[in-house]
Amino acid sequence: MKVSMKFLIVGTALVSTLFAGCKKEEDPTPSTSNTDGLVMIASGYTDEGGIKVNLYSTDSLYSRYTNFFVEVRDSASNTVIEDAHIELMPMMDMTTMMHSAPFENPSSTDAVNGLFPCAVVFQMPGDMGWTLNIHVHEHVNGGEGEVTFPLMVKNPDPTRTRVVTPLNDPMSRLIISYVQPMDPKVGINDFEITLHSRETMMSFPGIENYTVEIEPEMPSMGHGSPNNVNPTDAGNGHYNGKVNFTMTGLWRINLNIMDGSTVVDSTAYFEVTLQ
Amino acid sequence: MKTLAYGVFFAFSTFSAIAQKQDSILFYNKGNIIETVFDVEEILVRPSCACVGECSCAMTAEDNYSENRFSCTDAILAKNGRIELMKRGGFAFEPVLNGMASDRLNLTIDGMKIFGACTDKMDPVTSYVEPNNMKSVSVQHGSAGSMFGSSLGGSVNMETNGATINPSKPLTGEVGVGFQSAALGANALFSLNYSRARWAIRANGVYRNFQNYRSGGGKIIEFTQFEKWNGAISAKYMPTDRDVIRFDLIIDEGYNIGYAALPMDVLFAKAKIYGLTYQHYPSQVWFEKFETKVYSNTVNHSMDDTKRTNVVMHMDMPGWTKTFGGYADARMKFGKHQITARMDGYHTNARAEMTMYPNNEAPMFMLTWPDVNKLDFGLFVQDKIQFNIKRSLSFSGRIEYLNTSVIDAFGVQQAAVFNQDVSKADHRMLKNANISYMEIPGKGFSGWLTAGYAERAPSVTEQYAFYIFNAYDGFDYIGYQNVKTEKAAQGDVGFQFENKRFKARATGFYYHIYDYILGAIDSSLDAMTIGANGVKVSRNLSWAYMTGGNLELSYSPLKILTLSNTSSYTYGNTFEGDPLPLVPPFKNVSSVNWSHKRGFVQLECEAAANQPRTNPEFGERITPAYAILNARASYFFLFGKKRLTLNGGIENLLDNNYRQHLDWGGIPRPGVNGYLNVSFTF
Repeated sequence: MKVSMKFLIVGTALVSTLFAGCKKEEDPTPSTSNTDGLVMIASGYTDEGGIKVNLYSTDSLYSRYTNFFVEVRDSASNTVIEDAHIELMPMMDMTTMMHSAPFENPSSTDAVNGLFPCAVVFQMPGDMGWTLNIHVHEHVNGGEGEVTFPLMVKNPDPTRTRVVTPLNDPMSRLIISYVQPMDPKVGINDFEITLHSRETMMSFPGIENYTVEIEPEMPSMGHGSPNNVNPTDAGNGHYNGKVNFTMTGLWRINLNIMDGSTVVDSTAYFEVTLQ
Repeated sequence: MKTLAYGVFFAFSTFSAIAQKQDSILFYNKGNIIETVFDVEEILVRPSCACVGECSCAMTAEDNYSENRFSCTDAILAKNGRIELMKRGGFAFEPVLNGMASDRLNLTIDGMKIFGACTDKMDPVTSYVEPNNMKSVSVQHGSAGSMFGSSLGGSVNMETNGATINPSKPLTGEVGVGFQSAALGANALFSLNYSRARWAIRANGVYRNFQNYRSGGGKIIEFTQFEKWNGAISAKYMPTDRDVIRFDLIIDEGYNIGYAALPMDVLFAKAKIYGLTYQHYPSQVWFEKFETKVYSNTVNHSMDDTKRTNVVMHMDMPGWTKTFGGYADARMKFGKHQITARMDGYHTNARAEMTMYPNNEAPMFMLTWPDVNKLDFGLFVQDKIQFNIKRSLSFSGRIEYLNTSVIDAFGVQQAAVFNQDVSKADHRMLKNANISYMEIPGKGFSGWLTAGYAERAPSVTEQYAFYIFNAYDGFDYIGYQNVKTEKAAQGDVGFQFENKRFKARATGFYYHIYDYILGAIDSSLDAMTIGANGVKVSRNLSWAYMTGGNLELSYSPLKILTLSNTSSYTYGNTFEGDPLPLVPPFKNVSSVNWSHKRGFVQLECEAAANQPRTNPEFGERITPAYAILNARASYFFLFGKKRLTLNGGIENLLDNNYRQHLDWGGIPRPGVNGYLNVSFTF
């Protein structure tokens, strides 16, 4: 994967140098984006509109809250396009049924470092069946089209997404995903989870105004840690707080999720290991 | 100074002649202890002795109780009426002076700062020096001991023997072995001193191997075993009659030391102590002595739970301290004023780790001492005014700057969990002052009165402990960097009468302590240690006080017979009226001593009242009263100038099952214990 990325970067650089050579008078458009530390997941062309779409993430894909970075290029010139409207549609085809997943479209039509950040919560793993449809309307040349990438989503260890039946609505599902800390340290850590509700098989809106309590513990010791800050609603289904770890080793962060004073779920937890 | 030599050589009149030869302020010499009111002087004044500087003319250790060299240092200290021992196992008891333990004391070896590396205080400094390498122990109370550092309780300085330059006896030494029954213990020791005209070298060593001891009634107390050796080399060179250069090395290694009262034992405790001293005795009359020293020492300590059953989870708990420092002092005399000034400084680093190993999981690691650096500079000045032969007044003061910082970022992050920012250094100025007045109102009578102000900085544990488990109260301790400096206003008073047959000495003290540092329960925190009662965080009590005293009586109806009796009592309260934890109860030691040119026989009764004054928050239990009987005897044979000494005895003759109040874990002390030591001195 890394090798192909390097090729891509070198290739892009070469191509862009050539083109830059041809259109010296024009505005210098950045022809590369900053993909340091990112892994290319897929690359392809839209059905219409002459757009090349490169899909990056921070790692290979696991069933968890996953940050994506979409790079949009003009398929002819290969120049990076930084003004585009992008919409995602993740889909899981289980042959007998299909469902989507919680996702977050890019919040702006302006790219950040040449990339459009967005996210998908893969609530289940799958070697096959997962696809991500990306609809692009780029505002530089006006091209519009979509591309669908098949994705392979592995099961992470430890579990990073919990799908539970809410106590207050047994027909629905609550999807709880661990966002950070990705690199937990002894001391104070930013803690973030997402909460999404399965309204229909195709609609998973972020939940707002829930109350979340966290209680870290070391399962083998039975003790917790002091001065944690319960995550609070930060919009879009995200809840941010602080989690404290007093030593290395295996920690379990127990969650208690409430809608007002009604307990929605108190079974979910995430485990982290500090090395 | 000589005329002022003050004190009583107590207990064994046999040896009093030896003590009188010395220009020391002796008071109690049974265990080579020199307790002083004003000052300590352990060398002879130059003109009276052939060897300038330190010399062998009055080596009390050579002449004293041969038993002492087989005892552990702490046992010798405990013979002082104001020192008690805190016992956690069979070895390395923590000295408690005036009701205060090591955090509140200066414990120094030849004036060198050395810090134990065990977060559970398993290795008090006294465990790193052995009696056969000790010339004297000086005990100074409260701020009177501030020459050695800022402290509340006082200073205990253990002076090592050092090499002796004495060309008339080029080779001297001693070998000895001892056995004792309660722990099937064996001691072996040797010392050798080789002297030429201008230099000398001394080596000494001790090896001890003790099994689990048997308590009164016959029960074997598991995890009280220990094994250790201690070796020291000292070299002394006198380039001129007025200059002495001395180098000392002490290596102490203990292995497999059981701590019955704690959940873990000690795998090993290793100390290396280096000192280089230069002394100059100027020709000017007013300038009596100049001394400077540089030193360094390291302590490496590792705990061990592998021999314990029902260990929930194996853990490693190593700890280290590294210290270096130095001092320079000068003693001058201007008319009635004797002025001593000392500049000192040290740097020490303390780090302790804890790693637990759960099954099939990542190890759990934390820094119980987060790599703490202390940098300290002090200035001490004392002016002793000798108005006349009967009256003197002494002022002393110390000012000390201490900078403490956590150098491991991991430790800083850890502390953040408790909302503590320890990323910045902690600065403190510590001030100590003392004024002492002494008067000899009539023949045989003397008395003194001291008033002092003392400050001490919190210990590494008190400032930075991270879940250090205290097995006494069952709480995990968390330090608090901003805990306030502890302060005390102190008064010490003493009175003494002595005539040919009768000696009486009474001392009393009152220490009013402000911002007394003590762990306070924080119920919002979860204990880390499995089974612990909760978490305590260092806090300052508004005030507390500690008071007490001792009375020593001795009567010799016959020249060869002495009856003596020592009583001591300490009383401590918090401002709320609760008893301070770990305060010893009333204790009395009476003895009948029959002495002979070649030895002595002693029958001793040691008794303590019960201690009903307990601090419930500290988990203290009431300790019942006890009394035990000890019998000891000594005899030596002379072969020309060589001497073979036998000493033996039976301690706890009646095999009573007892414990002292400061003993942790309610673990009984040894039962009947017979011992026999044989030593050959040449």
